[in-house]
Amino acid sequence: MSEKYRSFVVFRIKDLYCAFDCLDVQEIIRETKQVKSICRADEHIMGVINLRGEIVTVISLKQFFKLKEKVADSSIIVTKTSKEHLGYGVTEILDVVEIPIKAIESSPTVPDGLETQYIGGVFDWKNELVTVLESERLADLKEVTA
Amino acid sequence: MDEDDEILDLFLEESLEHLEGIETDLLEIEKNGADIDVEQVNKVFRAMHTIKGGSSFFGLTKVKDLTHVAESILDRVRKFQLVPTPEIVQSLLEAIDHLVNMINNPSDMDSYDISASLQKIEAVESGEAGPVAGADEEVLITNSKGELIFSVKQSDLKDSENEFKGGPNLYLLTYDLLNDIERKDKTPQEVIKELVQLCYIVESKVDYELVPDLENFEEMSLPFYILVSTVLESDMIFDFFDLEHGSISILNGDGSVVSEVRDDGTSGSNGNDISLDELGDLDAALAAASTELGSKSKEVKDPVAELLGEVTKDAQFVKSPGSQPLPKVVDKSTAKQEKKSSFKAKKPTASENVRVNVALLESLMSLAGELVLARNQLLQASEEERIADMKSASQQVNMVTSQLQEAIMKTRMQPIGSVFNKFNRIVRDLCNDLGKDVKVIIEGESVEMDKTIVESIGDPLTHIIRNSMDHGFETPEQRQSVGKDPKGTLVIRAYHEAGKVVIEILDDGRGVNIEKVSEKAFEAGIVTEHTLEKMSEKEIANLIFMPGFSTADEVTEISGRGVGMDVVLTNLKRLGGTVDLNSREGAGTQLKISLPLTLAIMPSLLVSVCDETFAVPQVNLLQIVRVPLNEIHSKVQHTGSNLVIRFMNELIQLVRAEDFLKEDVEPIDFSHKSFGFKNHLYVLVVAAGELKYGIVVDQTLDSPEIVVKPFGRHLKHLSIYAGATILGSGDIAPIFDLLGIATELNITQLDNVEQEEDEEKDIHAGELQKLLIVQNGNNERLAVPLNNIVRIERISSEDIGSVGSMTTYDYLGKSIALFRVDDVADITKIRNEGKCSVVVFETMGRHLGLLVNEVIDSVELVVDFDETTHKQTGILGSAFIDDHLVLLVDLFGIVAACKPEWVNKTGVHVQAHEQKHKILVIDDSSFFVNQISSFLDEAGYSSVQCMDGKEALTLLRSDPSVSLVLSDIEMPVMDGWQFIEELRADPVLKDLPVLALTSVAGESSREKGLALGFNEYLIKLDREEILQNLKHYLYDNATV
Repeated sequence: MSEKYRSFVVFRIKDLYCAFDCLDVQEIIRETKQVKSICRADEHIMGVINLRGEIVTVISLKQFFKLKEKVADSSIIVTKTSKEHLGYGVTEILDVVEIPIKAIESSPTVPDGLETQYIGGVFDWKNELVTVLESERLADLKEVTA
Repeated sequence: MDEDDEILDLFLEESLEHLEGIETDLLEIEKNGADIDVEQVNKVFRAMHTIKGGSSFFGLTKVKDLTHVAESILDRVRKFQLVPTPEIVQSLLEAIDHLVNMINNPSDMDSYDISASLQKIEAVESGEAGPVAGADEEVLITNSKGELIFSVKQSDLKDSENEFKGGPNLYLLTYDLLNDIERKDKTPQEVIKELVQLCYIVESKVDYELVPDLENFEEMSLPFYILVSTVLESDMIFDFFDLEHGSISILNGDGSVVSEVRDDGTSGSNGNDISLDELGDLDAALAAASTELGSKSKEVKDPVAELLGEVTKDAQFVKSPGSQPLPKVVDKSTAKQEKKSSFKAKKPTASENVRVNVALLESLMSLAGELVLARNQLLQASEEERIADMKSASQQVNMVTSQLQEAIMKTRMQPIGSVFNKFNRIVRDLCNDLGKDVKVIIEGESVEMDKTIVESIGDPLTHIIRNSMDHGFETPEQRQSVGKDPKGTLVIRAYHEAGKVVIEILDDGRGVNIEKVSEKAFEAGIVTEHTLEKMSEKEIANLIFMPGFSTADEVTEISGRGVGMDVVLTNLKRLGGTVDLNSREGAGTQLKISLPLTLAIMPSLLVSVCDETFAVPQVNLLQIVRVPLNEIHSKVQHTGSNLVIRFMNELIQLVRAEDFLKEDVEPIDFSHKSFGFKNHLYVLVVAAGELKYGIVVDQTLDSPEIVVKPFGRHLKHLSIYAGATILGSGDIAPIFDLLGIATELNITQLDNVEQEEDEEKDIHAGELQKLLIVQNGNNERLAVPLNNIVRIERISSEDIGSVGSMTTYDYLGKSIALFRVDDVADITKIRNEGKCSVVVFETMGRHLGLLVNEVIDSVELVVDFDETTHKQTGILGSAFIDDHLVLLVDLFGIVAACKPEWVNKTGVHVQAHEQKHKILVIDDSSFFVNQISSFLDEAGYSSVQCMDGKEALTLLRSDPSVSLVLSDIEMPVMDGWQFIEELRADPVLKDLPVLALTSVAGESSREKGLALGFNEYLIKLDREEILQNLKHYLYDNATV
């Protein structure tokens, strides 16, 4: 991959288009059946999964961004953070794309429910504005809000 | 730099290992005093030397300086020039502490202040230097022209003989960096490498003073002096060193030149000493390292090249025209400084490593091989769907996996000695601080435990030992005055017992001062006076584990802040351990800690709650109790808003798993008979530390061994879980943290609460009674003491037969007589139609039945019976239970009234000709006292009464005519337990027969009663049994 491009996993949380940098993503699990919910965990925690013997926490992005509408999460994106693996439940996974670095702009506005510190910019994909999420920061901030 | 980091880590780890051993050795050396074990001192010396070599290589100057001074002291010790006094050993120990600290934090090494320690050691060294004979002299090494090249310690020269590659022959080699090395197309590192193969380098330096200016370029030379010690004889050295004659001076042991083969032509004066000590030390490190591990020395050699490269560079720099300033010593050290700074960022990983026995590693490898083989078989068989082969293959996998698991667990096992050994030092230091004299005996250092446990047990044990040193041991004078050996003994011992590791800490100090502990515990508000009275000495001694407890009159540096033993206990409990404290005042204390071998894999019980599976560690599990739905109301009670259940004579709080798992649980329905439970209950009785409680779960499942996996950081804060595990199915089950749950729900020890409640009950002169509430007629309630009841049968009126005037009923194939309360007492007649119940009871040696209309409830409660208003034949008294007037039925009275002839047959009455005995009845309830006294009177005895044990003892001591005592157990002031203990201890009263009378029967309290010295343990109101026993003890025994 040329240095001038970055790869993203583009996904949807309800009707919000977001993306993680491919370098942050460990794998994608295209189902949420195996998520085991944990009693007394915070609301935005979907539960845990067994990722080849490691117990990985899964966070529902929908819940986290306070999008209350009932849309079931269909997939889990497992990301690597510096400390551990962390899964994110998303409504739908759309594509993996290469975006020229130049095409990534800083976000003009903050989508509802999101906070600026999680956002690493926006880019245009099939006429949709996609918000790049910083998975590492997302994971860290969770600790504070938790 | 990665490689360097790796080498540094290796060095740090190795240094720590060396230092660990040194401490014990030093203490041993101190003990031996002037009688030095040279080998032991050598061992310490070598360790210091190795660390010094390595540290100077890495530019860890402070470590180098410290080890250097320590080394020189040790050197003199091993040469018998210095006696290792406690002061000297102390200074060395301090130095080692500093070293350990520095090595543990290599990044902070620069900021670490060692000057005090350095000064101390130097003071020790110089202070002792004078008087000691044969003090180390400086040997001046000169070249053939008499120019001073080196100033070396005599001892260093001598030692060099014993060093690796060292020997009796000393040579001063003079290389010319320009002529001998550069012009012969050699590199300095090649030369040094060659040398290291051949000899031990004592000292070396480059003479920069001699660097010529440009004009004399042709004549210039840059001498590089190396002082070596070797086994090589002088006739051979020229071949080996590839030097011209004259560049080698053969030296005597005292440094004087023996022969000079060639004038090397240099005419310089004293050299500007470029500090190549490091090189020398490096070689020492090299030498030491290569003896240990061949491969390691190779790694170290590359940096040799690097270092030497600098020297070469310097030399070239000098050569190049136009350059004026000389490279200075400082430059090199700055370079090192820079190099060092790159280490800073990285934390040492020493503690993260596990050393594994090679044999064990081999066995792991072969097991892994077998596993792969078994897997292949399994895959093949499953592909071809050969069931039989699959079975055998999976069997194989199963077996190999267990073996593999066991072998891997072994790699985590570490000997506990690594923890124990530091106690030598701690005790020694504390002895000095506290002015005590204690010898430590350590046993079972080789007992192995899981790494995590070994690592976390150090602090609790240290705390215990500090406590024991501070509070436990007396000063030597005190010991002598009570006739003990002035030197105390502290035994620290580890051994295996029943699949656990037991650590025992025994001291022969003064033991736990029970009085003081009680006093302090009371002052600190940990216990009430009432509770204290009931506690045994052991229980009181164990109060030291309560939070906030401290016996120390003043806070000392060592202990006394009242944060301590409770923390110790909590920490040990977290490791799944238990603590048992035994103490004899004046004789010493024994603390027994038992710990599981490993934490990583543990047996568990799987339970299901709300269709979810959870794991409960079996270490915490005491018992699983199943309570059928129809027994819930009798077994489960509530105090305030909490449910309680009785477990082994102890009331424990009962919680529903939903209470801590779900946020919106339905509150407990206290109005409901079964508290809203719709099914039978599974109660897990668990212990979290001292705390016991019950958890209601829906179902108990399997009990597998589980591997504990931690939760991620988003779930870590959930204190009710200890982590999670992955089940055989691949599903995840969270593991309960029972201590966390208790904290979450604010569950506290019910013991005290219970005792306080008892206290209240005592005031009301009431007592816990088990009663069966039945109904006669429409509204009249009767109570039958449950203890007499054998069985309850529900029958229809047709089942009742009659023989003459007597009604009978077929019970277990036998016809038993039926009685009604209304036969003798003036109460509502029983309804004679439809269903009714027969309460089968036993008295006078036969089964009899009491006919009632309906059984309402069985209760266990405190009631205050009124024995006057409703008293009549067959009715003992009355009380209000659940807002109903209830009449207490006198079963014996009814039968006696209906069938007086049966009573006489039993022969329990005192015959006229027999002596009339005086019986003492002790009971705090006037109701029972009166009941018992009255039937004693009827049976022909006389009686006296007391309300509690204390009163009774006073009476017994003044009135010798009492021939037997009937005593209640639960009483205020002095209970039955204490009463019997004191009575049996009284020389006059000890043989008096005492029968316990109680309404709370149970096998365990019965055993306790008999063990304490009660002759019998009887149920109150079982009139007949009491009378029979009286007869037995008063008459039958008398005739025997």
